[in-house]
Amino acid sequence: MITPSFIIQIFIGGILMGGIYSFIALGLTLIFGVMKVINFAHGALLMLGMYTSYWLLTIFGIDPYLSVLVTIPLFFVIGWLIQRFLIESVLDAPHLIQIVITLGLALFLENIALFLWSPDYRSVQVSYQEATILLGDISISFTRLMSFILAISGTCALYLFLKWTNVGKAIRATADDKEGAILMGINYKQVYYIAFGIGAACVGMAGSFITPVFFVDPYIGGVFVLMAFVVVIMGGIGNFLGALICGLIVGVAESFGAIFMPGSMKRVLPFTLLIIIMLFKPTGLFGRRT
Amino acid sequence: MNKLNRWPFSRKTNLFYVMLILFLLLIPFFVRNPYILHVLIMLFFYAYLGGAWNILGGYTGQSSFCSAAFFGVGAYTSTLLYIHWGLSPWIGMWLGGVVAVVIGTFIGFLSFRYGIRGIYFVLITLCFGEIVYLIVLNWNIFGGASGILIPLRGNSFSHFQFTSKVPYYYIILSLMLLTAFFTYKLERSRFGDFFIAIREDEDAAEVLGINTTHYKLISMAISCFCMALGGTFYAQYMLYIQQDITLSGTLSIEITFCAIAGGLGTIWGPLIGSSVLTIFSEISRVTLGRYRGMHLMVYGVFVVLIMLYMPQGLLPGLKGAYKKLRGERGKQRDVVSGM
Amino acid sequence: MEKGASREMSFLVCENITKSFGGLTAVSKVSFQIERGGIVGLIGPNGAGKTTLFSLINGFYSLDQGSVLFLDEPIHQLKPNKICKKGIGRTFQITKPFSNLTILQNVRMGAYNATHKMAIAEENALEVIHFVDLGEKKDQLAKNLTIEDRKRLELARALATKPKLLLLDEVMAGLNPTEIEVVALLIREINKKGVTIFLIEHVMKAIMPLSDKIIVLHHGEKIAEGTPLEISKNPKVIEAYLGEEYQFA
Repeated sequence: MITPSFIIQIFIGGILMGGIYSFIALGLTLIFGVMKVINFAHGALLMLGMYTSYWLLTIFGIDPYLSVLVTIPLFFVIGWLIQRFLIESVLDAPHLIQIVITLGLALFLENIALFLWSPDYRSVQVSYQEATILLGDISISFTRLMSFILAISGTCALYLFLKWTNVGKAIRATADDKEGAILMGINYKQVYYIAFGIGAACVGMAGSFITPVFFVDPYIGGVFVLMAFVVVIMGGIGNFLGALICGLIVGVAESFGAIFMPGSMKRVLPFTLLIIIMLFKPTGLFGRRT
Repeated sequence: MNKLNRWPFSRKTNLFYVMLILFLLLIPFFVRNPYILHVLIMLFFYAYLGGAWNILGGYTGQSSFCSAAFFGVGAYTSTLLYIHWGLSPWIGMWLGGVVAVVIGTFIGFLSFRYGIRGIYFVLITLCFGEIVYLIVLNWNIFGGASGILIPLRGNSFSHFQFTSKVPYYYIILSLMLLTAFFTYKLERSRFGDFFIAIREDEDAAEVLGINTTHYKLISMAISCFCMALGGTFYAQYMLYIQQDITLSGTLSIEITFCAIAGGLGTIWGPLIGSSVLTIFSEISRVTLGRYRGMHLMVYGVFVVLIMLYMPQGLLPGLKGAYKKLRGERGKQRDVVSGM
Repeated sequence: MEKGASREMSFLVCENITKSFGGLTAVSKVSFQIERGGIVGLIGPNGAGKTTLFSLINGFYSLDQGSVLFLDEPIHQLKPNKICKKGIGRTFQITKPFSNLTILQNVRMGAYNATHKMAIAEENALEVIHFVDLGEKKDQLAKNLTIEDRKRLELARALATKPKLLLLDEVMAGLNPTEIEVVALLIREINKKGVTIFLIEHVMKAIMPLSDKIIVLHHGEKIAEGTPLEISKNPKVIEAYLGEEYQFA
């Protein structure tokens, strides 16, 4: 039955999912925008974030939403280390080498998870797992709403950080013009460490707050990272607002796609959308001219 | 070099290659262990696919990450034609190649005509590969989650099935050697020159009168065709195809790894890359296999290490190390006619 | 434009060329003609749109408005490789050599424009390499060259395409006075062989004596056209170059 509330339900579901995609993409677009590196290990980091929260809940009883207090600093350090020891030496190498390195890293991380925690699906059980909020005819899952709120909050926080703090400005300066930034006395290597750290922290945090929403297995990262890429390219590489808006667009597109297409086919829609956008405006819907 | 097409190798190198090929051809005569034959088959298999990738990725500089899509096209085309119409896989193989070329040219045309390059091309091919995977996964004709089993016919040449591994060994070895020979000829041809020019600097190539779109499409067509043939071979060897195996992003990545790790833009790079990676993979699978995921972890680390310390690949890297050991200063060798 | 039957075929005619990027107009209503056989210079302060103009003629950018006719044929809709086949060669301001190839291989790529055969391309390439005096270094990898040699390689490669018109973009930038002299001589030699030259240069001392005619761009517009002498006395040109300094004086 296609009623208006049905449409709105689908739409809201899409927005909520889209917010999550946006936030995941944010870390990716930051890394790409600053270091010009495509981090194919992004999905694996998301997956690790999820496992981190899962174990914090299972072993210590820490609520997933609270666990961000752990995942944020933890993944910041992980990101820092990745940039320092893996990426730094190949910054000037052909893209292919950077891709292979991050892919190799992804492979490594996925299989550490496989080794440590088996391929079984796991899901958390929290008291508010099944809670929904009712708005007239429309029911919204509480956990998805929380994820969305946290995602948007994280996005705003990051935006303000980049806009107002000195570190944030240094990051933006280095992303815009590395040579100029060096001339201004900015230590670009430190900036890179921090940027990757932040990117990783974002995705780790995202992993935490989507743990109540999704099953976690070692391969969950794969799907999300491709969606994140779609969002990043669509929104224009390095473009925050673009990532935010396009995340929402992708979420809604996928949500409506699910009506018409069976099972996993709904994912075809965002990919096709991306191909079309890349053909006609490769800098993305909101990207700056090349 | 006075004349371009003169065989530029010294007699010593000639002899080396003849001995090598002879050795490879004779292996089944003194190796009977089916497991070792299997490993060798897989080794040549990845070397063959890596070589096909190398033409587009290594020589023309277009890194595609949807090799599995074309591989799968070959596998599914020949298999479906065989199961539903009884068409011999030997013929289905070529048809699969044609279909792959058509699809590859389509996606290539879209990309190249709209000026998609470098990292964007990587992403478009990733998306495309994912779309193909999703379509096959959700369309029952392709067997869905349980895949397609190819009916057992025992030992039958016309059905492209053999009970012993030896015929498979020779088939894949031939494919690999043919690709290596093709690459060798390519390097010394006008086409090879154009491919390499496009890789080095596409804009400069355009401005010199080279129709880059045209040659990129040709390169892509060749690569896709070879991938598809490999798909049919795989289907007939394993007698089972399923999209998680034949269309997975992991397969695309493994193929690419072999080419890159071995040495892009070289004839024997893919074979060396595949040899090292396959053998390494097998050893770690055997020793660490009981620890789930361990061997892939090690594989990942290994690939990363190669990229960090020998980014041009094992072949150029080892050649460089060898030269250093011998104390030569290394003559300025053509990259084009080198190996 | 005359349409008489006895009119000679025009060489390069650019009319009302306009190109904007985003909100910024890079080139605005630029019109000029180049006759066959001469050397024409293109000058203007930084950011005047000179390289953009070259890229428009060359097919790298599409025109927003206007037309480019080469030998009476419109070429502004063609891709760069087709334009090269028509006889226009081009060098880049920041050289774009095929880094991992030798000088010989680099130039051979250009020589393919005039022949399909590898052997003939190689022969022609050798000829051009010797002409620009890079013969001894023909087997050196392009990425190991000095800037002077890189510029020469760029020139040789474009020359190997057997162009009728050669667009040279700051081929003297970064060179010392002696090297500049050598390049200037080389350009004259190329011109004597029948290749029309259209060059962008900042080195006034070199471009003035070299050119038969000079076109001046400023903020994307053509502000002057004439002989070097006329240009050097043109108040608009002087102002364009010195304008900002005057304000601080």
